[in-house]
Amino acid sequence: MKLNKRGMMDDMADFLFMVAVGVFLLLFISLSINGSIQGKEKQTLQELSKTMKVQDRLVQERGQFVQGQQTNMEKLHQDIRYILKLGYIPGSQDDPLVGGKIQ
Amino acid sequence: MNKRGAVLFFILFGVAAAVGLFFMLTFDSSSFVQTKGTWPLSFLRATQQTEENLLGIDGIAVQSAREAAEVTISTQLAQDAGCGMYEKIVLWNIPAGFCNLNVEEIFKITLQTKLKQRTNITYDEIVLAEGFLAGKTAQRKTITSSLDVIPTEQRSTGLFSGYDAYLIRPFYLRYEYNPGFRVPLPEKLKAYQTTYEEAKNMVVTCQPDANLLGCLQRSKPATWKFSSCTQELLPTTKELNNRKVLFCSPTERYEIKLALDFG
Repeated sequence: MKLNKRGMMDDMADFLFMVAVGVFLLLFISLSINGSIQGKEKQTLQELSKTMKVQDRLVQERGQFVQGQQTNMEKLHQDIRYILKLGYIPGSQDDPLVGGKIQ
Repeated sequence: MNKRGAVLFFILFGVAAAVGLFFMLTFDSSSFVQTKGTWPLSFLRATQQTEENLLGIDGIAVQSAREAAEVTISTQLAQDAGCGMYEKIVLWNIPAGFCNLNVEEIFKITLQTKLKQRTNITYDEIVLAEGFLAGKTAQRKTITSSLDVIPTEQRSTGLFSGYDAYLIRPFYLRYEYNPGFRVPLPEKLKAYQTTYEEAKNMVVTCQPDANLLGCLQRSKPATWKFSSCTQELLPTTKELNNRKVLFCSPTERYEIKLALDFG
């Protein structure tokens, strides 16, 4: 079989097209996986921050209890639910409306 | 390539491009990447849930102990414990020794009953030591998997609706803890214990002393008063002759009236 000049050009164009498609495909996969890894890391850090805030709230309540103050369990429970849901207690310093930063 | 071949080629190219575009727009690579640290976070949250529950139990214990002390001391210190009464006040001792006022025993039983009613936990042993009150139980409480323990995220199902979904595939979690407690003794019980010790010391010191008034004035605790809780009085001649003296031991919030026999 003989290859003429036009046939060779067609093959070359197909090859270059496939290379370009491959590059873009790999770039897309790489970007989307990197993005999702960063997203998941951010999510983990947010969850960790919530857990630490819950711990701070519990330590604060325990400290008040040791000093003889009565524990308001309903308020404590509600505050913990807010922290786990929103990441802050409405009206506290962490509340974006009061002056805290959204994390 | 003839005309028919070219049409087929472009149709196939169009289909491949459409599939690629659809894949690009809908591809969610996050389902291939799991959120890290979800298991340890869930464990931490289970311990935090436990801390919250234990704080609640401690609060109930403090409240119940205060009530139990109020009831027990007012009842037990108003009835004859076997040593008799003097001027309508309970005698805490006779020359042979101190009577068992049963305050701590009755307090423990009353507290156990109250705690059972309020926490549904049977505390097998109540210990009073070094200014603290401890409750021991063989029972265990359990924290298991729940939305509060395993981290979730809000996922949208429409413009105004959503639901809480676990960050990773849900797993079974079980965390057991002992709901024992250790809280400060109620003030009234502490006041009773202090008064009891001070009374014992005073009887040991003044029982053999012929000059009872002089001895009482020397060894009476500074906060104690004779007879009245409000006025500074001296024991009456009748009291000194009978060697049975009325006292009031006032603390910051409570007053305990008692009669002691120095005969």
